Amino acid sequence: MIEFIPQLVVNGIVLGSIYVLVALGLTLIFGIIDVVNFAHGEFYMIGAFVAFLCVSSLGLPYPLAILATAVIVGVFGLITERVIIRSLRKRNPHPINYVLVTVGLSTFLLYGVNFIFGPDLRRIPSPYMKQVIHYANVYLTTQRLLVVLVAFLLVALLAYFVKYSSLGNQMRATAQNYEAARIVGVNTDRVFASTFLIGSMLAGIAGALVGAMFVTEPAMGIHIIVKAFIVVIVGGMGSITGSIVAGLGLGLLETLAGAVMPAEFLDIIGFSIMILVLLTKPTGIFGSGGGARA
Amino acid sequence: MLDLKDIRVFYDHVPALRGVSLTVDSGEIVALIGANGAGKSTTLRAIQGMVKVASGEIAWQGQRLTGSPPHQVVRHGIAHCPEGRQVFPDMTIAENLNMGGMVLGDAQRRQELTEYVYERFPRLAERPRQMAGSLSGGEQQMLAIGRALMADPKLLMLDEPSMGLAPILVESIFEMIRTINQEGISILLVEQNAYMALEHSTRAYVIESGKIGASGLSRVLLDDEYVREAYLGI
Ligand SMILES: Nc1ncnc2c1ncn2[C@@H]1O[C@H](COP(=O)(O)OP(=O)(O)OP(=O)(O)O)[C@@H](O)[C@H]1O
Ligand SMILES: [Mg+2]
Repeated sequence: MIEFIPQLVVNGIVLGSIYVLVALGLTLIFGIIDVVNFAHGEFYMIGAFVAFLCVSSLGLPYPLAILATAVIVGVFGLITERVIIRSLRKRNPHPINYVLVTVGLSTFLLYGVNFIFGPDLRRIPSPYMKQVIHYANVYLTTQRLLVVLVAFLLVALLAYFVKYSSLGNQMRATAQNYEAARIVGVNTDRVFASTFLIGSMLAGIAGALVGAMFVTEPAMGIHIIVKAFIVVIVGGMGSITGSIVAGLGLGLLETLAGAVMPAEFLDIIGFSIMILVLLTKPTGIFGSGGGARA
Repeated sequence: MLDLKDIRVFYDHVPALRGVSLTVDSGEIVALIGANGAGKSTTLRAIQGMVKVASGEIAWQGQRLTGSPPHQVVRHGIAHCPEGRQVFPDMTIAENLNMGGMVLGDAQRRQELTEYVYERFPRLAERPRQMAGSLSGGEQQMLAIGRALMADPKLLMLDEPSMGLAPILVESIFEMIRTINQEGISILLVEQNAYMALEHSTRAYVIESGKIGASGLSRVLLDDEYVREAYLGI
């Protein structure tokens, strides 16, 4: 049993990296725009489909397909923000309206993709699935290594960007005090659009990675979004550090528990932790009640 | 320099400003005083473009300002220090000041202004890396004023800078305002502390339920029977 632990830890980090990538976009959009994007999982699903089409229809090499996916899903997020979120903000910014439109968008995308492509399970052809690396008794495909590397790279980039770039500072300022941000000269419409762009890109990239490792299917967004919500709530809504810690933690915990528990029960772990956190520290482990932090 | 003509503002169909006209000339300190809910903050918010102006005109240095969004208004040289010390709590003092200077294209000028603000507020200079949220009320107020100065404004709008401060700090804040003014920045000062505001301004407007009720030279208003009774409690 004990000799499997290194392998389980590695698998847990892979799973956790995916959770982190998806949760980061969700937490950024919530922390800065104050919108819970219920369609975030579908952006991830669309990322997988876009990458699938890039590779299988356009014949793009897989790494290039990931980049193209980031751009396409990013633009898709930008359009969503402009057409739906922004018009709502200008006309009728009641919180329940954001829930209604993003849930509506989520359903529309899920059934739209299902209508066009059918519910079949596909897999993005990736050359990295065939290469296996092993060290001692730990085995891992290059694809899984890629997931972890991309996640770490993006997290580091994001942390640096938010802390040191001008736009990143404007994003933090907007999250911490919207009115004051407007007063000092932040174009908050532009900040909101950029936030949606970044969040959607992260989700799209995650989809392009997972769609090659597991399956690409219309319902994949539903599975991930539940986990992403748990991560964001446990880590603290709006907290970047919180999402990273909680995402990796949940991935590890689920994988380790998977060794001793039937798979059907694994989902209980996340929910139990979430309920525990909501009962004891409702703002999440790293949350303080509002505002995005590095 | 700044010219408001018959400004009307509504919050959800309820009138907050019912035809406010006022001017601020270059080099002046103009006070806007009035009771709770009279519309003082709303006037500043209208100038800044934070609320929709239903009718009337705002002109700034001969240019029409009505309808400009806040991020453009500040780029025209109008800085706003809002009521209630609206700092960025999870940013350091230095980062807060940097945000204030974001409208300046010129990094050199931003550096000069940072030094100027630190000189003006030595308590901020002592710990530029401290989080703004952990500062005392008085320090946050100084930071908010300093941040507004970072925009290199021609007009500084201050909304109740003395609110909630110890008397000794109130005195020094008003001194500060005077100094800033002498360095060439015009001031539009909103205060509930009418006496202090009149003492430290050139001209003043009295606002009552969204309309200007009285206006004139501050020292004349200080002696005015009605103003004394209604706002100074003397
Ligand atoms: N966001 C808002 N929504 C609805 N009504 C508002 C809003 N802000 C202010 N009001 C109302 O508009 C009127 C003017 O408010 P304003 O804040 O300009 O007054 P003020 O003179 O600054 O008062 P105070 O001295 O308390 O700061 C008040 O009746 C207030 O209740
Ligand atoms: Mg006010």
